[in-house]
Amino acid sequence: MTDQTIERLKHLVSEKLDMNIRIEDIDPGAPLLGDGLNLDSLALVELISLVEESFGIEFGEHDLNMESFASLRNLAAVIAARTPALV
Amino acid sequence: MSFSDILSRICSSGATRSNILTDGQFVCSYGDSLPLLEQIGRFLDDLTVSEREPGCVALECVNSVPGALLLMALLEKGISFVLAPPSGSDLKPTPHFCRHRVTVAPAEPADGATLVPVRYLRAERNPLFNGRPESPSKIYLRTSGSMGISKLVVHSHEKMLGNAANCITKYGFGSSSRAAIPVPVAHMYGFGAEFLPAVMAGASIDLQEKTHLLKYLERERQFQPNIVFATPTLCEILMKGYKSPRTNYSVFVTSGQRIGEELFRSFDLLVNGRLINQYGSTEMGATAACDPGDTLDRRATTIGKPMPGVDLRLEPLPGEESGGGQLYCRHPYGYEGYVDEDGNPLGDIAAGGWYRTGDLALNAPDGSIVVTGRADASVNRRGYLVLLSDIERKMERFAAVRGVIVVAGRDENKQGQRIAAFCVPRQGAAVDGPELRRQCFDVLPHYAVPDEVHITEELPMLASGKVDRRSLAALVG
Repeated sequence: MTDQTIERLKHLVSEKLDMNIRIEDIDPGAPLLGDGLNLDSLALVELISLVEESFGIEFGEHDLNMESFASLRNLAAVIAARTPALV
Repeated sequence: MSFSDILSRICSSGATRSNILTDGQFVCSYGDSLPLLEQIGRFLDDLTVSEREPGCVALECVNSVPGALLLMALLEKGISFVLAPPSGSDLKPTPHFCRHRVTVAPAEPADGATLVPVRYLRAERNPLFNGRPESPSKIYLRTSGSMGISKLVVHSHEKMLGNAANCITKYGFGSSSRAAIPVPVAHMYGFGAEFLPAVMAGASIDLQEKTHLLKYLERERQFQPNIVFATPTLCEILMKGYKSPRTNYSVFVTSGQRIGEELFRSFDLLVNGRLINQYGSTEMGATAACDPGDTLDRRATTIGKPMPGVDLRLEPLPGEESGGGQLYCRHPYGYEGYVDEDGNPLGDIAAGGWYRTGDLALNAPDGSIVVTGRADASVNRRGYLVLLSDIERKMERFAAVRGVIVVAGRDENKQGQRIAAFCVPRQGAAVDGPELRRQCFDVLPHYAVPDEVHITEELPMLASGKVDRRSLAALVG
């Protein structure tokens, strides 16, 4: 399930986030901020909103930390923990 | 009292010497800072004393403990410096009147916790130095005007300290203050209105370089600030991240009218009614602000009253009947003038010391000042004076619009000078220009409806972080 979540996140980043990032260039282990995907501070907030909307969840404040958003893989794990078991 | 006297007091007094400067990587108490300041002092002596004439230093500073200590050492030694953020890819030439350029490297987590500040300082000689003798104890800041012409604003160390003392009074900086600085210490706002007052009060300080939501939340948890100077953008970002109101702030300062009343009111709820909008400029420093105890209505709509010793006056505009006018400011701790890249003076300060802010304002009945927009951003349409900022404020309320900039073109049509609006849509909003233009007719007088409404995902920005209105104006058909 986490793999599917990662794929959905890659789509969100490449298609919905207007950062000119191609899906084939996204490494799920790369840092979201700084040298990896290089999201800026507004894009990060946009990504949070997109994820909440797309997965129908709302992050708690304790989810909003550097560790959860270190990479798409970490983010997928946080989402998985918040999503009722998907079939 | 000189900065050096203030510094020796806060580094030795029992109330302040264990207060800290931190950047998340390094922690340094005022008490422990003296040998580090001496170390930086020797670094600066090597730059200046070995020369026959000491020269002004061009400092590109980041928000870090080494950067903060360097600023303190420059002030302590009375050395003149140009203060700017890292030039990065937008390569601004080092001003020719500076003998050296000094940059501050950011700390890396791998560096460990032992602080040797000079490891982060790099000095290089300016190959284009013009030999101009140093004008003693000055601070030069680049203007952040939105017209794209670069000049440097000259301040004296002494008046910069006076400006900071005003902020100490206004915001109540003291030894129990914990000041988070997420805005650049290389600009007037971060340096003159927050960093310097915090240091002079011996407050604990958390310096955040290039902050974002996750970093701010983490630093906030660890440092527990009770005062912060933020931008409207940071307030907007924190709107998303704050799931519950914060009660730790005695003052949460923002700056610039762009925050908008709606964001102000909603964000104020999240910071427990402690939001204050400061009015100021690179030339005048902190000029006016509400008091933390003022009513929400006053804080959300006005800039409050002038700082101690500051005079504000309105000069009525022809054709403007609302009682408002151009806002002029006379400041006891204002700038001394402008210089160009060579250090040559550019004109004198206006007669009587009255500085034209370029803003339009009104007097509220209680004596507070309401800033309504930019003076130079107005056009004549069918005989009416139209403030472009008024159109922006109306269009900002459209559900599909996240931000809007309205500019005037050169050509005239039968309405008068052409007006164009550039709108950034909200995430996911389906909009087109003609539809937004139709909506304008519901909220604006017909003569003020823009002739063109464009949708754009991104507005062109200047290095100062302001919207490049000139390049937008060039697009007006």
